[in-house]
Parts: sequence; structure tokens; C-alpha cells
Amino acid sequence: MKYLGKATSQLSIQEFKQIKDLFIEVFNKSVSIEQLQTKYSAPLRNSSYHGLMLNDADRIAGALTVIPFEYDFFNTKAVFGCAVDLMVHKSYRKDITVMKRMYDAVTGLIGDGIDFLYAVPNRNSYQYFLKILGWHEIGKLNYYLLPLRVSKLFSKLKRLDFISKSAAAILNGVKWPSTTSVFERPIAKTITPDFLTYRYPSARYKKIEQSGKCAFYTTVDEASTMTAYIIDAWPLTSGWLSEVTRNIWRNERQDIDLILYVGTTIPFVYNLFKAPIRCEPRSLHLIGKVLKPDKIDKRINQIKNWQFNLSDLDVR
Amino acid sequence: MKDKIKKIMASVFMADEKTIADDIRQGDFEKWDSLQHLNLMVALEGHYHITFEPEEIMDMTDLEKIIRYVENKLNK
Repeated sequence: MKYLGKATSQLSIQEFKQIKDLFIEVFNKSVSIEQLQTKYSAPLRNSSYHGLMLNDADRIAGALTVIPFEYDFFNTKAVFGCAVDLMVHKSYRKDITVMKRMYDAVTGLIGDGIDFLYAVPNRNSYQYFLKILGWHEIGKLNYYLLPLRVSKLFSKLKRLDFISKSAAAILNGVKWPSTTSVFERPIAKTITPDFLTYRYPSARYKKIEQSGKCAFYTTVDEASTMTAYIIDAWPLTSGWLSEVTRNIWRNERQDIDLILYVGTTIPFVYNLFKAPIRCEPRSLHLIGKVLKPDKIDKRINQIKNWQFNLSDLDVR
Repeated sequence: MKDKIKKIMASVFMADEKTIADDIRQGDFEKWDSLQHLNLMVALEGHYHITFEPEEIMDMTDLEKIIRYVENKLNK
């Protein structure tokens, strides 16, 4: 087995094809080479960093990718790397050193090009990041939801769907008073026109705009629960989030079961409720690792300093 | 201690306790992959109130070594 670090621009079409095959093997998910190329060509550098494991036939059998983005860290510009697509072919999962070596390969390639790494790993790799790679827990992400069909959350409550639908109609049919104070946090991604083109590349992302305010959402069938995800909304005010939720309800209520926002704490919104833990589909932990301690201090490890949502990730 | 650790292993690997042999090694036991290994370490740390270093975790690849590391931690 060989381990090496490569930038996206150094990957051949053959290697992209091997990564695509690995996606199917590991995640049972089909992605096209074009989708991978687009995803790994984030606007900051038009390239990402890949730690690769090659098997004896010189095929990619393991990968870990870091996509660089620009963030604000207490009024200073910084480069954060989002660690994604950690994959190891099932033939090599016995070896506990594989992920560590891929990680060493990718961080070796990064050198001093990134200040901080973050991820929201799945349950399987969460402990590996913390215990072997020495990452830190920053905090848990919250789910905020508006159920239109409550039976999709609690199957026993099927007869109460009409109540949840009526409640959603009341909450969204009336414009309730809400604040306009902006809920800003000192750690947040930098939103540029290039970032928006990159993050919302297709018509499956719908944009809501109103006098300088903006939001994006998408609708996904999650195991027969049609879910409208609010990916991002800015400025992050109670009034605008309420308006975005109301807008989605108005446009999509015939087709969706749930409106969902996932992220760090948001201001009180009368038509989105913080989900109790038992309603969370899975526990989402934001974790990270400082690469440049002279630039990124310990304030990074406090979730209260973060403004983070699905737009910071490569999912949905 | 051996029996207790075997019980923890069976629980983490969701395996019948009888399948956890005294000479069990990571390479030979199908359900003991690298991610389950981490779950096992977390379970042992929680049970014995100890903490393992990354190098120790990577070295604990059979029952004998696990017992030795746990005993060393408890005797410190």
C-alpha cells in the first residue's frame, strides 16, 4: 500500500473514476466525475487536497479530502478546510493506521496552506478523529423544525396530522411580531458571489430574496419524509428566518412533511422549533483541529462563537 | 478482568460472548474493524475510567495486549 497527497488539479480522469467507484463501494452512492470535479473545485483555490491510499494494484482504495474555504475568525480572514468524503475500501478497514496515514498525507500536502480543519463526521469516524487524529469537539449542532405532518416524526400520531397541519397554517398564516436584530457570530464563512455559484450550482436549490436579504433551501426525500432544508439565510434575524419558513410553507406545503434548519443556535423564531433530542435523525457533532495556533486560538473550540449551518458542509 | 473485557468486546462487536476467544486478535475476527476498535477503546475507557493514548490504541490489537494496557493504567 502507498499513501500520497494530491491536489485536485493533479488527479487524472482515471483517478477520479477510482474515487467515484470508491463512493459506490463505501457510501452506496453514485456520483459522476463532473460532480466530484465541481465539488472539489471550491472557489477559494479552485482545488482541494486529497490524502489517498493506493492498493498493490495502484488503485485508489482510500481517500480523505479537504476543501478550503474562506472564513472570518474574529474579524480576521482565515482559511478553513472542510474534511469530507473519508472512504476506505472494505478490504482495508481492519488496519487502524490507514486513516491516520491518509490524514498525514493530506496534512503534509496542505503544509501551511490552511489554518484550521473542521468536519461533521458520521458516527463511525467520529471517535477516530477525536482519539487518533487528536481533533477537538466544538459542539453539537441543533435541529430546528416545523412539522407539517407530525406522524412523520412520531408514527403513532398519524391521527394528529390534521392538527400539525392546522398549527403550521396558523403559525405561517399570520405575520407575528419578530425582531430584526442580527444574530452575528465571530466565526463564520465568507459569502462571496463565487461561493454562492459553487454551493448552489443547480435549480434544485431555490433562492428566496427580499430587499437585500437572502436564503437558499432545497427539498429532499428522506426515507419517505419530504423535507425542505433551509440551507442558509442571511442576515440571521428572527424576522427573516420566520419569513423564509413562511415562504417555504406557502410554496411547498402540498408536497412536504417537514421544514428543517440544521446549525448552531439561532434567534427565537415562532414558526421553527428546536427539536428534542429523540426527534433528531442523528447526532451531529462539529469537530476541528487547529493547524496554525499562532493565528487560530482556543476561541475556535467554543460553539457559541460559531455561525454554522448546512451551507458550511457538502451535504444537502 | 479477562472475562469482563471479553464481555465488553462481545457487546461492542454485537457478537456472542462464546465467539470471543482468549487468543482473539483483530486480524482474525471479522467484526473487529478499525472503527469498531475505536468503539471498543471508548467502552473500555468508560468502564475502567482510564484514557488511552493514540499510540496505545493502535497497538492494542489482541486481547492479551488489551489486558496488559488496562492493567498498567489501573496500577498507575
